[in-house]
Amino acid sequence: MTTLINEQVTSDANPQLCSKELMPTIHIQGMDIEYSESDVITFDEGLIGLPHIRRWVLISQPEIDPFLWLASIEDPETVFLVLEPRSQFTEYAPYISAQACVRLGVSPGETPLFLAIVRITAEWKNSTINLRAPLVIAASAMRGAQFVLMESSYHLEQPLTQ
Amino acid sequence: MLVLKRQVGEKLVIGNEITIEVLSVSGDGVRLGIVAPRETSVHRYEIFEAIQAVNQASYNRSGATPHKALTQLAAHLRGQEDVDPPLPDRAEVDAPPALIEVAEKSPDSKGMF
Repeated sequence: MTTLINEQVTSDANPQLCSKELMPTIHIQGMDIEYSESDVITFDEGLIGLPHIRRWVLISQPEIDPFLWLASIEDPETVFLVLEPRSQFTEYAPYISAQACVRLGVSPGETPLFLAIVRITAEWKNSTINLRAPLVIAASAMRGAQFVLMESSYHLEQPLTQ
Repeated sequence: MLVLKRQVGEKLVIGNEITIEVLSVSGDGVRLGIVAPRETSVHRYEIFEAIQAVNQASYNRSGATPHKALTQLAAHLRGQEDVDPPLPDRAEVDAPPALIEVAEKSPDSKGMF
């Protein structure tokens, strides 16, 4: 199952595309991205402050690796930069209850995907990551939610660099 | 905004299932008891508002992302030798750790500075 869409450039010259149904395309960060329904991750309650934006795709782009784009299908101008927090904070282990995982659609034995929203500043060293309200995604169900950690010492604006 | 007056011991119902009871009132505050289904999260408004503000500040209207800063930061993270100092331990972890592979660090990325 495709969770990530690699950066693609639509090409009129590509013979394979001529015979396929046109896949929906969104324009994000200067790229034309084709996606299919199987790429869409549904956030039933959207994100905090954006409760009505519910359908998203995850896009990888080599020049921004390890970051990913989480882009809204419904409003392509709404795009978040996200990062798997454990890639930089190896001890990050937020408490998410088993009931919450089940409600999200995490299958037995499945490990949910954690993504944290990154805020990039013009002075890149001041960029921060939100470890207090991570996004949790059940890849098997292609569903996600933004969890607010209760009574947590993880920071809303954790510096990404020393 | 709906404004209601309740005495200590009286309750409100929101929707069909969320109940709020005024437990006690003292000079500097009100103690509220909340009964809600497990799937309904309840938070102090300040944290919700703070997260909303950070979400709002983080999302990128087209053209607004500082692209150079982004590629520099990405390169920095790819080239980083040391991991950040460990964060405070959590008492319980219910979900097992993520199994998604960490992106390989590229030795060439330092040249981007």
